[in-house]
Amino acid sequence: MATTAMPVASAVLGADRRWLFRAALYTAAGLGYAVIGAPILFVSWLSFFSNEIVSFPPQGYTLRWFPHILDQNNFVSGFATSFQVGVVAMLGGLLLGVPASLVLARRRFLGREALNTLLILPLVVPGVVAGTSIYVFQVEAELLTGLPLLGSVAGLVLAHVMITIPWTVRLVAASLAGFDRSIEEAALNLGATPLKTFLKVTLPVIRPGVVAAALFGFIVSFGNLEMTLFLVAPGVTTLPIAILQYLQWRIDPTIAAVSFLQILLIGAGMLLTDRYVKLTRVL
Amino acid sequence: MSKTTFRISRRRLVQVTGAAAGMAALGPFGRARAQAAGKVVVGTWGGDYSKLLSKNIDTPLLAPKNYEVVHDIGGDPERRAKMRAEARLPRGTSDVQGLSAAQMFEMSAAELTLPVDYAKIPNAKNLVPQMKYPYGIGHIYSGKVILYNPKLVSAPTSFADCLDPKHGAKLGIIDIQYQFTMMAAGIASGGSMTNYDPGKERLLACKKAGAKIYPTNEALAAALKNEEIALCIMWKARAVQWQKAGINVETVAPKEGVPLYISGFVIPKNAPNKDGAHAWLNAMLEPSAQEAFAEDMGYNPTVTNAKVPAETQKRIGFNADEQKRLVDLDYGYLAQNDAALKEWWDKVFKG
Repeated sequence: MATTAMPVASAVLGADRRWLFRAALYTAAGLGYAVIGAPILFVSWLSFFSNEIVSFPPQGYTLRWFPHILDQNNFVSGFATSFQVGVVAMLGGLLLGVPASLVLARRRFLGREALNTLLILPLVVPGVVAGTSIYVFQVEAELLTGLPLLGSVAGLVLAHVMITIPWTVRLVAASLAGFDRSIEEAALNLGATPLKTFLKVTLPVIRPGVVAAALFGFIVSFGNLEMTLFLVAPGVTTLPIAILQYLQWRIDPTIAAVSFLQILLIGAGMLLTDRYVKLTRVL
Repeated sequence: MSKTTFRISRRRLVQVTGAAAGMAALGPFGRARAQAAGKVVVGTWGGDYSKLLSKNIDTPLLAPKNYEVVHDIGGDPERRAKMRAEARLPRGTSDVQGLSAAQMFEMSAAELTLPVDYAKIPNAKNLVPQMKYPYGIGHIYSGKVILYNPKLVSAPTSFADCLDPKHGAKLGIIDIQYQFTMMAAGIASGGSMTNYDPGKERLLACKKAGAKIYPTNEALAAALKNEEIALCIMWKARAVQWQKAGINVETVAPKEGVPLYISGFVIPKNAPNKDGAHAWLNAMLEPSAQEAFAEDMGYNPTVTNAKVPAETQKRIGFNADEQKRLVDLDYGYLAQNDAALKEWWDKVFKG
C-alpha cells in the first residue's frame, strides 16, 4: 500500500510545490516591478498636482508647472548642456570602450585583469570622490602646465566619457561572448582589410551591444549629479544640478514636471532603440 | 482609404542620430572663466537665488557698466571645496562667492578670502553694522523663529516652550540645521552662543517624547501642511514662503533671542577680477536690488536705505523689540566645535 501511495503523495506535493514556486515568483516579480515603477509613477502623478507644497491627497490637478519650466533659464540651458555633454560622452565612450572590449575579449596579455578592473572602476568610485579627485587633478595639471584647464567644458566632458566606459566595455563584451571568429577569418581570407572586416562583419554582430552601450552611456552621463557638481564650469549648468538647486529655494512640483519630461524623453529613446535593436538581447 | 505609416529606416535613424550627435559635439560649449576684461564670475546657489541676482543686480546694475556677469552655480559645500582645492592657483575661477556668515568665517580662517576694500564700495556706508565683516559682506538676513500651527497648538513664546517634550510627536526637527537646533536648545537651557551643551538633554527628552526628525526643508514643509506636526523652528523667510504656499503657520520671535541667518559674499584671495568683484558687491548693496530680494524671497535687506513696503516688512521683518533680540552667532565657537556637534547629533541624538 505504502509503495503505491508514495507516487500519488509525491505528485500532490509536487503540484503544491510548483504552485508555491509560481506564486513566489509572481510575488517577487510584482514587488520588483512595484519598486521600479513606483517612483516613476509617483513623480509623473506629482507633476500634475495643483498644490504648491506636495501633500496627499492632491487639492486638484493642473498643467501649470510645465510652462513654468520654460521660465527657469537654468532648466532650459541645463537640459541643452546635459544633452550635449551626454552625446559627446556617449561617442567618446564608444570610441574608447569598443576597442577596449575587443582587446579584452580576444587577447591574453600581462595585466589584462588589471586593465579590466580599471575600466570598471568608475562604477565603483563614489561620484563625489571622483568629482573632487578630478578637480584636484585639474588644479595640479594647471599648476604644472600653466594651461587654463580648470573650469573648462573639456574637463567636464572627459570626466563624463570616463563614467560611460564601464557600461560600454561590459555591454560590448557581453555581445562578444560566443562570437564565431571564423567568419572574420573568412572575410580576411577573402581579401577584406581588418577595418572593413570590423565594419562589415564584427560590428553588425555586436551592434545590439554597441547600441545598448550608447544608450546607457548617454543616460548615465545625462543623469550624473555628484561628480558633475565639482566639474561644471562657471556659466554652465546641467539639468540634474539645476533641479537640485531649484529645490533649495522652492518645493513646488516644477521639478516633478521636469522629471516627468525626462522620463518621457529617455523612455522614448529606449522604445525607439528597441525597435531597431532588441535591448533584451544584451541586457 | 489609404493607410499612412510612419517608418524610419535603420540607415535613416543612424543618419539622424549621427547628425544630432555631431551638432551636440560641435555645440557652443562656451568657456567661461573669470577674466580681467569686465567679466565677473559669481559663485552662487542656483534656483531663485541665482535668478534674482541676475534680475536685480547683474542685468540692471552691472550690464550698463559693461560688466559681463557669469554665475558659477552650485551648493555651498562643493563651492567651498573648490575654493580650497584651487587656493594654490595664482588665478582662481571665481571673483565672488556666496556663503552663509559661518562659512564666510570658515573660509576667512582658512586664509582663502581677500579682505574687503570698503573704500571701493560706496554703498557700504549704509550697511547694518552686523553685516560688515572684514572678509565679507552680508547680502540678506533672516532670523531663527518658531513656526506653529494656531489650529493645533497655542502660541509658544520661547525656544524653551517650543523644544519641550510636552509636544510629543507634534514637534518637528530639521536634520540639516543641526547647528541651529542645538544652539536654540542650548540657549533655552541656560547655555550661550559659546556653549550649546546644556541643550543636549532637552533635545534627547524631546526625541524620547516622539519628536520627528525631517531630512529636508521640503519634508518639514509637507509635514506642517499635512498637520503631521504642529510646530518647529525655522528661518522666518522660509515661514513667509510657506505661508504664501498655503501652509497654516504663524511665527514667534523667541524671547531667548533671535539667532541671525546671514547670507553674504566673499572675494576669494585669487579672484582674477578684484575690481569687478568690488563693483559687484557695491551693486549688491543698491537699495533697488535689496528691496527686490525682500519682496521676492522674504529676506531682510542689509542696508538701511532700502525701502521695503510696510506690508512686506510686517511679514518678513522684526519689530523694534524683536530687533533688540537679534543675536549673531559666535562663528569661532561654531567652527571649532562643528565636528563634535555633528558627531553628537548623528551618533547620540539621531542614533
